[in-house]
Amino acid sequence: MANIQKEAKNEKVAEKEQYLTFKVGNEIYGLKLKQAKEIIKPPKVTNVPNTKEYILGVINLRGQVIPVINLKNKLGLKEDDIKDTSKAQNKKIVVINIKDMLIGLYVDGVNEVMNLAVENIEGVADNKTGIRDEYIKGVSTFSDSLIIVLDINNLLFDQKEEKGA
Amino acid sequence: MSDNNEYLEMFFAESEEYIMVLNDNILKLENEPNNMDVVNSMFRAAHSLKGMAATMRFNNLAELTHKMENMMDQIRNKKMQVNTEIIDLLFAGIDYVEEIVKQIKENGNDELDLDDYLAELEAKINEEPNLDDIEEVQEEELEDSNFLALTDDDIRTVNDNKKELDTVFAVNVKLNAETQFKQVRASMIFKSAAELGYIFKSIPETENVEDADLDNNLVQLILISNQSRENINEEFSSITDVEEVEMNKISLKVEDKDKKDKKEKTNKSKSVSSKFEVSSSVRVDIGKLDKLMNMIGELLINKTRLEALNIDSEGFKDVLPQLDRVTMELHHTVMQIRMEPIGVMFNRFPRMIRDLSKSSEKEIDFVMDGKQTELDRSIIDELGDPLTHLLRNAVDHGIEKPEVRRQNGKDETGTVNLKAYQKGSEIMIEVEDDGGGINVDKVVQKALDKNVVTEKEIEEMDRDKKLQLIFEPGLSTNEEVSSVSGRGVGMDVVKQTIESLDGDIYIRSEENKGTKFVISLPLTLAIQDALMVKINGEIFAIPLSAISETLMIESEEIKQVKGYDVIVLREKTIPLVDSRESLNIEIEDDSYKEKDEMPVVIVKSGGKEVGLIVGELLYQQEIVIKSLSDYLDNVKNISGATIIGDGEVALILDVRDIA
Amino acid sequence: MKKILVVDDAAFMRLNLKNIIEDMGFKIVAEAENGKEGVEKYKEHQPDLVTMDITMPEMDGISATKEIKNFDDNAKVLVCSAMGQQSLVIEAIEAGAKDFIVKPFERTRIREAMDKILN
Repeated sequence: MANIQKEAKNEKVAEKEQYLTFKVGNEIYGLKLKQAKEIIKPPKVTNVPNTKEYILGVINLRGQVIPVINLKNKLGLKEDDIKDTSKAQNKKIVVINIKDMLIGLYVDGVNEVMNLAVENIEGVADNKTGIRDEYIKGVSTFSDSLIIVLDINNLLFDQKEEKGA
Repeated sequence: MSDNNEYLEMFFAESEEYIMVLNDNILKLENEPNNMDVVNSMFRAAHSLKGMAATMRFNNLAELTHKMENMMDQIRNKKMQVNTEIIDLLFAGIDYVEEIVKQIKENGNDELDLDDYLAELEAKINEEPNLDDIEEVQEEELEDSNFLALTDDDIRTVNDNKKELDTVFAVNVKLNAETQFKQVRASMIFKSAAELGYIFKSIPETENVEDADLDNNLVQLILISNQSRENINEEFSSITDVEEVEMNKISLKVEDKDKKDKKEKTNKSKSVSSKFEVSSSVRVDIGKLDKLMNMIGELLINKTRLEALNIDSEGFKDVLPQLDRVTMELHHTVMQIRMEPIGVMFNRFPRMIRDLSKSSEKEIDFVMDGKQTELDRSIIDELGDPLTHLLRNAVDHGIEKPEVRRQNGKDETGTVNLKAYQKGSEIMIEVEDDGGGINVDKVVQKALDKNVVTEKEIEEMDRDKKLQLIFEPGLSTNEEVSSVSGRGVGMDVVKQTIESLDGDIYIRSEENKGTKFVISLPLTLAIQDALMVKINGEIFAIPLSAISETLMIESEEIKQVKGYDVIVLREKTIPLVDSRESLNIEIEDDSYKEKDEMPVVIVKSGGKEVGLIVGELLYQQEIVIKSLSDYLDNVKNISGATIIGDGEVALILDVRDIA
Repeated sequence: MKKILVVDDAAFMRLNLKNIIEDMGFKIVAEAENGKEGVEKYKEHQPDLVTMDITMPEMDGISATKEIKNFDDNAKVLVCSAMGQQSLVIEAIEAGAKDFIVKPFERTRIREAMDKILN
């Protein structure tokens, strides 16, 4: 009995969670706010040769060298498909903390922090985004706009791709 | 409970030290069964272990070390003759100690069934009770005359502390029964004594004099002093309430009575050197040192940035060199703190080789050189496994059985040599055996079978290059996997470990003559001198340790050998590599050959030299090596990153695979 | 004639000491009521011996002994202690005092101590 009650309670707590939303290309994406560590203005990125194409390079984050991922490339969005409307000064690096590593995600702009209800994040039965299913946790709508919630873990530690490479 | 944890940490660290000392000394004892220095330092280690174990309430361990100590005592008192059986018994004991310590680490308890072993030990101890009466009597006498029980350990310490002109006195200072504040008088006596010389031991103890019970009106001390008996007597007598001063000169001999003074002298110097191996020190958590090192790194980076500001001010220009000097000294000092003699790790090997050679029925002379060579602590920690593997290989695959050696006209006893030395800013470690050597053809065949190389690639390889194939995954020349070496660790793992330390390894081998592995390691990991170069507009750092020289070449100097570009430098042919190629940077039309002149950095690795053509030679700088994020592991030709003056990241070129 | 400085906050004790010391044939060159004054008087008179009380206002006898020893390494300080001040006396000895006497004073002990120090 006690267990069941507890579970029910947990569900209620988990109902809403905060998401950081950001723009890549024409779409708005989201990731759990607690995964994000900070948002910085892009400093000079040093290109690292002999790495995958989506690795934009490395930056100096207060003395620590951290890699920066080109999300547009990683998500498989082709540059020419997108009319880059975002201004250069909007571009940001979202630094996330995952598996004890700091990794920067290069995005076209950071929107706001939104409270998204879990039930609103639906599975993507009909994925028309062109992004691989496993990179997407779900899709949510918030005041008319569509937000693609990313599965950062799958996105960054892509088993399939590593094997293939 | 954090207090207890702290004790435990210390307990582990010290146990390891003592286990090492014991292993080392038992091994020595086997070769020099009559060397009492060895027995004594063994005894001391066992004794200390026992003390620690008892304090920590590890009773099982205390019991074990107590019994071992008893046995050593018997050896020391010549009641037991050292032979292989005894040595094996002692070694077995150390193994138990090690196992118990390991168990304490893992489960926190010291339970281990030792009954059989302890019984065996006990039986041995009780065997042949060949008492040496004379010695017994003398021992008693010594204790009598000294009133303070002095252990052999004490005597040794006294002898160590005593200078040439010093005399050791046992002093009884008797106070007037009416004395007021006896404790104060005692402290005055100690004060005088400390002015006269060195108080080795005293009753009451100097530290507890305030609470001492002086009902017997007696202060007793052992004083080491260069003053005359008369002077000392006078000094003590002048203290108020001192009624009587009684002094006895004592001569302390650690050695058995039958040994001459001369012998004592040589033994003394030996004990000093063996002491050095367990150097007394303050224990510092390596994590704290790492943090300190990181902070110095930050300081260095900021200093570099400050320099780059190029402020036009007299004061600024004055203070900058000062800052530079302090930073360098700080860096140097921390580096020194992190350094440890490699011997602390080497010490485990003699025992291992002994066991290995015994079980494989080979006769092996194991020689170690350069134990005092110092290396960054974190590197030493990582080296244990690869060296173990190389030494095991040397015994297992290298050295032949005695009969085979005889047939091949070699000495039946093989030699395995482990050597460390410093060469410039690098530490070299060599593992060499005079065994059967490596059959290159077999290595090549295996490499072909495993598709590590193609026939075509083999054709272009010289013998030396072919030998290095042994470091490729899945290659092992010996078909049978022996119980000793065949533990699933290959040479590839050894190479990987060494490379992860920013080091390099290569092999030289000649059939029937032997094999030699040469490992080179940076002195320290964190900070290095580097040459900064520009390649395709980006700044890169090349560690100076990897550079033999830089030069400008003209395009007509480039020659062709087998379709490759080379230059000839002082009659040596050196292959040329375009750095942009190594870095997979698209080479635009202006291939270097179209330029009149180009800068070349001659880089060296594993005894090879390659001329690396770069865009521009910039300047030399001390760089703080940063990891290139775990997310980007093993980037080809890049070993790390550093932060340069303007706060940007510059990558560090890894020349090992280029050269 | 040997010159003595008496440092004690209690006038009674100073008087007591003065009587005993003058009986011994020494000269009291100055008296001080606390450690601070004691140090000043020492510098002024540079006596052959100082009797030093331990517990005093302003500056205690241990600190005063230290300062005096700092000023003159050869200074001879005799600590005057009350019963039960053993650990303080040890401190004073550490600070450089030559010897001590315990209150209530016994003439013979004072004489013995002074003789020892002054010879």
